[in-house]
Amino acid sequence: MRFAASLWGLALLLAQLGLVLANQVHQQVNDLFGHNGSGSATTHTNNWAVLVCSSRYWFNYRHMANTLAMYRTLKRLGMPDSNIILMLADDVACSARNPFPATVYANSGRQMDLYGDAVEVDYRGYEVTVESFLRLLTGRHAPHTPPSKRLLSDASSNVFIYMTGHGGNEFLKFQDNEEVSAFDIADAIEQMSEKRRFNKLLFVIDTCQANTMYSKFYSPNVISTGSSAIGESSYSHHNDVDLGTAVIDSYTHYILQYLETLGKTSRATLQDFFNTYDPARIHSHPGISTELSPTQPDGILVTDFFGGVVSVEVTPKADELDPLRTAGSAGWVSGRRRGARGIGEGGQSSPSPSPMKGPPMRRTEGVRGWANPTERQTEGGWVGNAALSAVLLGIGGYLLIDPRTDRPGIKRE
Amino acid sequence: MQQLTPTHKLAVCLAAGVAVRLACFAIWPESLQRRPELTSPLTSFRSLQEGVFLFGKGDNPYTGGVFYYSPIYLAIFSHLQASPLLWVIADLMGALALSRIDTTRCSDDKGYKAAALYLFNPYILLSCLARSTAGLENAVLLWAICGRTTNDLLLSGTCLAFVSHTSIYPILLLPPLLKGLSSRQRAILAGAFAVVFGTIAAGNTLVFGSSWIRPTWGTILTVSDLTPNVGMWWYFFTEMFDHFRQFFLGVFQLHTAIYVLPVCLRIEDPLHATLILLGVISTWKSYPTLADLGVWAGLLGCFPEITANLRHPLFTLATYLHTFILLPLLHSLWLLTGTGNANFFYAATMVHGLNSALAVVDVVTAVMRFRLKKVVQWKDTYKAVQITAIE
Amino acid sequence: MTRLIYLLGLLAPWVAASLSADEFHEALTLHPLPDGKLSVLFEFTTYFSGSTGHGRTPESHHSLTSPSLLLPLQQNNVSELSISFVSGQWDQHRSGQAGPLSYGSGGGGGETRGWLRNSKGASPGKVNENWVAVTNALGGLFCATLAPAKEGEVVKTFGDIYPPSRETKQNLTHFHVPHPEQLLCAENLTPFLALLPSKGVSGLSHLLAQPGVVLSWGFKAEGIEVIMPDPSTATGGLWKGWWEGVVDLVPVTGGSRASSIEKLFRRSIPRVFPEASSSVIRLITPEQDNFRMEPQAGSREEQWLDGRKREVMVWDLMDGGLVGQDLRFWWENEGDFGHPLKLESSPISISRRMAAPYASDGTFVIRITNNGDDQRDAVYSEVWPWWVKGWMSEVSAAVESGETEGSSSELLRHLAYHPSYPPHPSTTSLHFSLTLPAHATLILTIPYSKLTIKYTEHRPDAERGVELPSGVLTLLDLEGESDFPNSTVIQSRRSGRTHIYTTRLLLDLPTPDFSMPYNVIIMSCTVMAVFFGMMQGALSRQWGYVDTAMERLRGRGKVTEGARRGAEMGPEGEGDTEKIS
Repeated sequence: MRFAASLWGLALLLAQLGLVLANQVHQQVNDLFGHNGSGSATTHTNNWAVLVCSSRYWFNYRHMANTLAMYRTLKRLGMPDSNIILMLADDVACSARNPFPATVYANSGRQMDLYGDAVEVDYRGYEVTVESFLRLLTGRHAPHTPPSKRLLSDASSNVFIYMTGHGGNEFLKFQDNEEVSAFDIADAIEQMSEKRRFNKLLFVIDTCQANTMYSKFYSPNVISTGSSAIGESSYSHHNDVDLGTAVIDSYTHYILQYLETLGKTSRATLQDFFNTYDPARIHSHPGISTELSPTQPDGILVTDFFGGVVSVEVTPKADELDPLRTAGSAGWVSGRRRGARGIGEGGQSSPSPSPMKGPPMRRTEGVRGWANPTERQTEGGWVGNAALSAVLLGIGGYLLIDPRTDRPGIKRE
Repeated sequence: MQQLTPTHKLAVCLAAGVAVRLACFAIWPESLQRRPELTSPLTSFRSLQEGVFLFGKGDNPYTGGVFYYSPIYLAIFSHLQASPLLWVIADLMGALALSRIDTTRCSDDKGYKAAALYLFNPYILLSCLARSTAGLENAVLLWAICGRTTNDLLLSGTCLAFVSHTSIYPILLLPPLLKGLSSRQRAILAGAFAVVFGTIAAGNTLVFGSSWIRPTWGTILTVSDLTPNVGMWWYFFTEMFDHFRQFFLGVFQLHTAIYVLPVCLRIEDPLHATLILLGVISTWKSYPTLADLGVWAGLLGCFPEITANLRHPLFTLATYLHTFILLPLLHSLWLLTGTGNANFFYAATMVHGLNSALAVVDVVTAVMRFRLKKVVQWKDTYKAVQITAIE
Repeated sequence: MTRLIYLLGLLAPWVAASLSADEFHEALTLHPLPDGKLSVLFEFTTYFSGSTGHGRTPESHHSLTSPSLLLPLQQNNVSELSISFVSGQWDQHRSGQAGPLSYGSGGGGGETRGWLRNSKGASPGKVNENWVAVTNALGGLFCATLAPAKEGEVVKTFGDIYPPSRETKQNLTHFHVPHPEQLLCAENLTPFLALLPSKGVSGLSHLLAQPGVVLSWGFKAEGIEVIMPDPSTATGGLWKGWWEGVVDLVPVTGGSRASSIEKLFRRSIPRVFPEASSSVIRLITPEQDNFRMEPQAGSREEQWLDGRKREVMVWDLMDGGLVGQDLRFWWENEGDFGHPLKLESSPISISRRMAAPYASDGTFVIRITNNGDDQRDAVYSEVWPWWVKGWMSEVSAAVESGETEGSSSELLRHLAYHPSYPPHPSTTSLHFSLTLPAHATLILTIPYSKLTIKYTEHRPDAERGVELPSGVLTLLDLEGESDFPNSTVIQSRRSGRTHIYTTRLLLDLPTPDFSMPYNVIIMSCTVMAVFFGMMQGALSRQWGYVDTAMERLRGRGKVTEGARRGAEMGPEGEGDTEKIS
């Protein structure tokens, strides 16, 4: 009887130890998957971007170039076309005034064509209006709006909004015809926040007096930055003599220069990004607003907003299964079979899924609202585990150190 | 030279008017038909011809969207050829009506002065040459007023019903015309009006169902056609945002109608009241043309007592001359040469409208002064004033 | 035994795939034009089978056709659909052709048209909704505006102009939406290439996948045409994509027009797309003796093109013999190209312009030239936005020079007029049934007026103007372009080109001043207020009189108490008067 009891107690104690160890494993798994290794306590599974060029006419070539350069940067860092909403208010690439058809350059040496082979412009020309922009943000579209024109973000998306054009004190001009005010954008972002359409939002704006555009935001988890303070103009950087227009704006030029140094796996934080601001070079005073975000910029990676986020799980080679022999069957042709939108996936090659591995790989696209189940377990489980441990310890201890059992030297009355 | 009797003078005057018109029709090009000062979308001869053509082909002319005439015009012009003679005769009838009003009221010169003032008014002359249907409607309107003056109430009611049907605003002239009559006479006038109006409306509905109301009355009331004209409405409603459109439509329509009651109450002579309200309508209706002002000026010619008491007739005339030159000039500058923009023409219409407004107010004060002079034994040193403050 | 079953199970999808037999054909047609240019046409045709499966959800198996193209069409009951983008102008006189080789290309800008089936038991508005849905979906796919901006802007009267190629018109509704302001650019080319099974990587599409090259050409046209499978007759469907351009063979500074695939596309002939059933390069030989090409063509065909019989050289690329090589052509003994002094025009050519002295009124003048020996029947159609109003009572048709006589009613046999409903968004469409006399130019004049549109209805760049869609001349008496041995058929009717398009027109709209709304409201309301105030004053105040003689003695012109009790101007007329003392 006593042996059974002590065995029972030992078993309970071991169970307790096992639980503790399991918790730790859970914790490690959680650390690896739940926060993408960043250590921040939020859920974030995919990235979206809205890039808006709001000016029309050939002499605003640089605004188109700004937006397209940002587009190319996002794609280089891994964001697919399906997650980028590109709004260009005018077509300069195929404009009759463009001496280099179907190209847009952001530098005077014409080194890199931003239009290129695979470009997807979601809102073109007259479709870029204040109404369509606000409808895009709030998600209130006319029926039958195609998915490529919708911002299909969810509560675990990080949304990046970039706007460029002509602006002023608390307004931005669209198409040289109408304006959107800072209050309108603030209300739209509040609607997004209430509808849980973003996890975090980064708002970057390059216009004259840009910092006033985000001065009216009041929703949580929004970080904003602009190119110039109130009363200041935002200047273009340089011209191209063959094109006859300016090709890039100062602020955008310098932030792109910084982003060029990053790669998909970069661990640079937003604070590092903001630290590169140099008002002397940009010729205006960029502003940063982080008061609405509980997480400070030094706790947020740049790749949390820019680019796709891919977590890789490294497994030992022995775990691999033999790939199924699929040559010649109707369904699968490796790597070629893509949907119509596949060509737009830019630099990221979708790795062939190896079937039946452990937990599936975490990819930014295609994963919607899939909160980490392990995290949910550990969240509530930790308290439960502690209570159970206490009870088991108590029982085990009581059984092992039973005062009723005979112990040498001590005699109970 | 043998002294011409007034009847002869009238005959010479009318003959001269007809002759001038016929001569002008023979030599003048048709380009006047498209001038926005002389024609509006509601009175344009071109759209009348288009409507008759489509109706003759069997299509519904109202589906085209440029045809705003009442179906009664279709009925008339499907059978009657729209020759220039018709417009000449209409002007002649208008002059005759004015001369009759003049003789009935006061003068012994058979009203040839009023007829001459009407026939040779450049507004009326050019509108006749432009074949604007405002000329036809003016004649009917003048006979309505003439009928009231000569106590021919059936004629008055009928003509007023016809002209109210085609352009709604003359219905505002019914209250002053009813003024000063015994209740039996009022019943005749109002009854004739109602019967004829109803008959025409019923006839239209028989042919077209109810699809004619929207293009005809709907356009007048909701200003759906924004073709430039000499009124105050078109540019206002071009620049208006949709949000406020209904409100301002209501305000403008109400403004035109709001003067009926005060004028009828304050002015005792029904013809004076009719004159003033005609002035208000000509200035503030939704699609005015110069012909509307012309008929008002013609009617004013029948009231020498008012013209004697006008404060600034020269200023008014000079400004009318000024806008008469500027309006076509600035319109061409906007649309023909492209060197001006719409604001130029709009400014000219503002000047024209303000001038007309001041002229109408002048007529009101002239009526007041005339009444004062009738009541008081007037001396030359007296000056009539409005009592604005108690000292 | 189980192994056998397992093997069969593995083979079954393969067998099913080969049975469903999607076929892909590609062709590149080169056509040197007499004015030193070259017309290049890529055609990619895919045949696919209809849906299989007898369950509630029909299954479709496609191996070479993308579901992003077919699914919106299936779900919205589309029978046929055609989308085209045209950028640039086709010069009918210099090229000698009435239009590009791709007959399906519409006029300038973007154009979407299709036949939709009316589903049984559905409400009448359902087919309209289907059209909006399918144009939105494909607009998102092609990065273009294909859907009508407002519901009323869909044109439904073009059913006779573009008859269905397969089914009867009975259960179908035709929709036509022109977007003349559409621009063709790389973002339209990207999804086009993505829809192709070869994706621009191999086959002829590899030559096309260079936006910088193909979009620099003067005239460009891109389009697709889809004919969905017919469920009642169980025939398969086909979809065809084309890309056409006109490139200048002669360098800017002058020179020879000898050229080659490598010179045009900066690439040699690419490797064959393995899934293609046929892949050919065709060259329509110009009618000159000194034309040479190298390597020699595999086969030779004949084709009637716009009333002229042409010789076509065909190279088959499927055997892979030409991979990596170049295809050159040149004119023997021709040094620098000299522009020919005389150019032969096509049998029928059409041009449209406006004679518009006033910005608010004008006249469309359409000239249709019939160079053939016989009289032709045709229908000329136009689509206008709601604010262009034509004066039908003033339309006239006349022959230009007096040789051939014909009254207006003989030349213009019938006019089908479908007007718009101003100020609602809608379109006017007109169809003129014309008789084109032989060797004559018919001139059709249509006077029109432009209605004034509201501030809010103008485009952002209102001063630029608004494009009018192309007019389309539909020839009613064509004989097709196959070669028939007996030559009783009139030559000029040998053509596959049913539709000849005019260019777009840019209409100037008289614009209000966009900076003025507040000022206009203020000024107009001020005039109204001044009038109201003065009228109110005049009507509501009492009137009195002042004896200026006495006032001069008093020194000041004030109105005294006595004068206030002066003449009463009430409605009764007589009041007590009192002269001031």
